[in-house]
Amino acid sequence: MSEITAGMRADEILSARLRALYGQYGYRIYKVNRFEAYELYVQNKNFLTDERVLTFTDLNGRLMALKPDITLSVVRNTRDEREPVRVCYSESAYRVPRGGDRFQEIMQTGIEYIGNCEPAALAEILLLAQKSLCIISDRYALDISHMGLVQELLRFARIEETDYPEVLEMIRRKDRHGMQDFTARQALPGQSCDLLDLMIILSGPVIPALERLSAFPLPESTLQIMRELEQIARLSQRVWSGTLNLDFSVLGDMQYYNGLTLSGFIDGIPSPVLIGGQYDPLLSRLGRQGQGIGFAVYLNQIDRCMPEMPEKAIQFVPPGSDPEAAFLEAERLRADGKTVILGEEETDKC
Amino acid sequence: MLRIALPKGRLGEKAYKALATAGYPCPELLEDNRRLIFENPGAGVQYFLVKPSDVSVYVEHGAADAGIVGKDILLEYEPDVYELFDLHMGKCRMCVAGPDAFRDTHTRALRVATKFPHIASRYFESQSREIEIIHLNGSIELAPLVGLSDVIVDIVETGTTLRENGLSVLETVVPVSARFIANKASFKFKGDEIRHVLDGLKSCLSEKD
Repeated sequence: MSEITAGMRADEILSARLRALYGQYGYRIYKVNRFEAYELYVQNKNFLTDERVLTFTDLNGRLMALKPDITLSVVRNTRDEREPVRVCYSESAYRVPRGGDRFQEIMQTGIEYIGNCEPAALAEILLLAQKSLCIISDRYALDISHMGLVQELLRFARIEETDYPEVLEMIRRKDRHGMQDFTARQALPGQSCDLLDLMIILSGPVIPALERLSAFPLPESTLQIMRELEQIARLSQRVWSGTLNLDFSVLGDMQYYNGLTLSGFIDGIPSPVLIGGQYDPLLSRLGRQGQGIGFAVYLNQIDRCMPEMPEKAIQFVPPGSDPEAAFLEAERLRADGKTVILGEEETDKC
Repeated sequence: MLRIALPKGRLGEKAYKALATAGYPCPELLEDNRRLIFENPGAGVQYFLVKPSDVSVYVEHGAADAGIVGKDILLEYEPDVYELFDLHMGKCRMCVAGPDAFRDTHTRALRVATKFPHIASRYFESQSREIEIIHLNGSIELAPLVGLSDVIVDIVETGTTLRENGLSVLETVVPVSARFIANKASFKFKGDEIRHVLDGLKSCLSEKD
């Protein structure tokens, strides 16, 4: 992070590095407007982490919002482009963070891939997610899950769709005792109880985790998703050795996500710094066919894991009686890479 | 070093004793002093003593890796944490209580005094009952006695305070007990240590049962 000394903030440097990484994979920079019509968020409020949005009335009377989310805008505004669309962005979103009580400007850098989500494309997304985390710190963890697989497993466990929100919330919180109460209340068979319990405690490398799931007599449709997930994990791990964990607590909203979901952590930062997933239902809700996946890296808390940079030594050149000579001397020192202020050094008057 | 946030008071002491038995002792914690941080490097643990309602804040924000907190706090603030274990300690109920003679006539919005506005709102919302929340910070039982509210939503342990004030439980909202929670990121990087504490707690508490 020596570039910080060149006057850039850590988040700016990381954002630039991330964009350079995405550029290598053919993602072009996409600039989104800071404002978007409010109706987009009203129609898709469950896609947002918080439905409160900063709004204002534009001069033409239209109700506008400061973007609480970038994906929605990218999906809507790249509608006429030839697929696959590969765009990356570095933008601010304005929303109330989970558990917060005021709006924040949240700096995020991310990618959106809109096109056929075949295994190689998804493996590339996983690879990019891991490389993104690694750019921030080598102490990272990437957890993945799969909304389609979760849905299949819940069906196998004979969970009624009306109970999905409650069950998903327990999986999200790893609330094992809550799930035990639920299964007892519903009088579910032993096999369902065991599977739901495994869905809560499972957290580890993808392939062994999938093997544990395959101990259940799952239907072919479920096994098919598991094989795809295994293929994606194997493919990404052929070129990247970082740990990739399967953890069902990484969940998105089923209305919007249907496939792979991702959540990346950095040691020292208390909440996920990378969040993403496959959002085909979102495309469909926005009147667009096909598949899409993306993730965002949140750079707001990055400084928590960065080593403190020593302040660069500043040299003072007092103008004295010959300001012209001092001016030239200061410039000469700067050319040598020094930080120089033309003036007297302030001394502590106490 | 695993950082564990404990609630000050009886529940914290009880939880600490279970943790100490599970292999994470720090005897200074029970001494009569005003310190807030206690550490046992040998056992690899550091304890913070915090206000019960703040435990989940410390854990969610990563200042503590794990903590012991009442289910009432988790339901009220919905922190983004893993809720790993029910310690079956500090058992009580979140209840709707009111004057012994109270009958809800459904002719106007029900005035509900509570320290738990989120739990109360969700509960009455699930019953399609219109309410007006009166947010109080203590002595909730006083509210219906002086006409500030019709009913209260509060924690009931033995019911003695209610009875002594001419109130009784009208409905149980949810049973409450202490939970062992963990920060999601800590679970990724200190997962083995957290699981070790969890296993120790489980075996210690099951032996007690």
